[in-house]
Amino acid sequence: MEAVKALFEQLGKVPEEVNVNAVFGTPETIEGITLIPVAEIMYGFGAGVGSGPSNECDEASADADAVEGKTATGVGGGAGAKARPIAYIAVGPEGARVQSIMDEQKVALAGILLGFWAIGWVGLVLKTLFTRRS
Amino acid sequence: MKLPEQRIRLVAADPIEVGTRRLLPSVLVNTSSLQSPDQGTFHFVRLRPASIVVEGENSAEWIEIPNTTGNILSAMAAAAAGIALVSSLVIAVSLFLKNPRERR
Repeated sequence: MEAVKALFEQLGKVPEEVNVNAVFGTPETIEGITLIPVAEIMYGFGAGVGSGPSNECDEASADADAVEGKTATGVGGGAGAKARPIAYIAVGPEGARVQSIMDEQKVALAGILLGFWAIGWVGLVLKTLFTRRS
Repeated sequence: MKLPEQRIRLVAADPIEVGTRRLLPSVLVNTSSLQSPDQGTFHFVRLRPASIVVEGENSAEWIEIPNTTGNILSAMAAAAAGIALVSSLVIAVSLFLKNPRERR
């Protein structure tokens, strides 16, 4: 259990050492224009520990009283990371400019959902307005 | 129960040299964390580029890095909330006007 607590403490120090330079990619020069990719980075991790009374019988003794006082501990965790390009910086002879990159798939999906949402509400309003009360 | 700790910081990244220009980027760091020996631990970090300052030989220019997708999705969410609000108001008024008992 102490080892798990020590692990949690070590995991807690990781975000303090975040390298913000990872957001900006390596500059590449193509035909006199330098392009610097820019990304949004997300990452996270979690871990949990729990303990409780054990329901397992001791193989050496079939006596139920021997089970009393025994505890079992479980530990689990997970982690994930995501990087999404959001723009690139173009630096040329005339200056620097930022060109944003749109996630068309996400926007299209959200647009379809918004359309269904609007149709549903309009239908509900029309049904309420044109329904005759008995 | 312990609540997660949230921190938002604006951090300057390392300067990028491009020819005679010097780019000074800044990054928005959003950190959520919970550290509890009893409940467990989690950390979530989001790094979003905020802006760059382009330093030339004689001038400096500040350029914002827009989150186009995020802005569009926020506008759509606002539109969805507006549609729901207006529709609910229309339905409520309609039901109120149709019910003579409530009108008295």
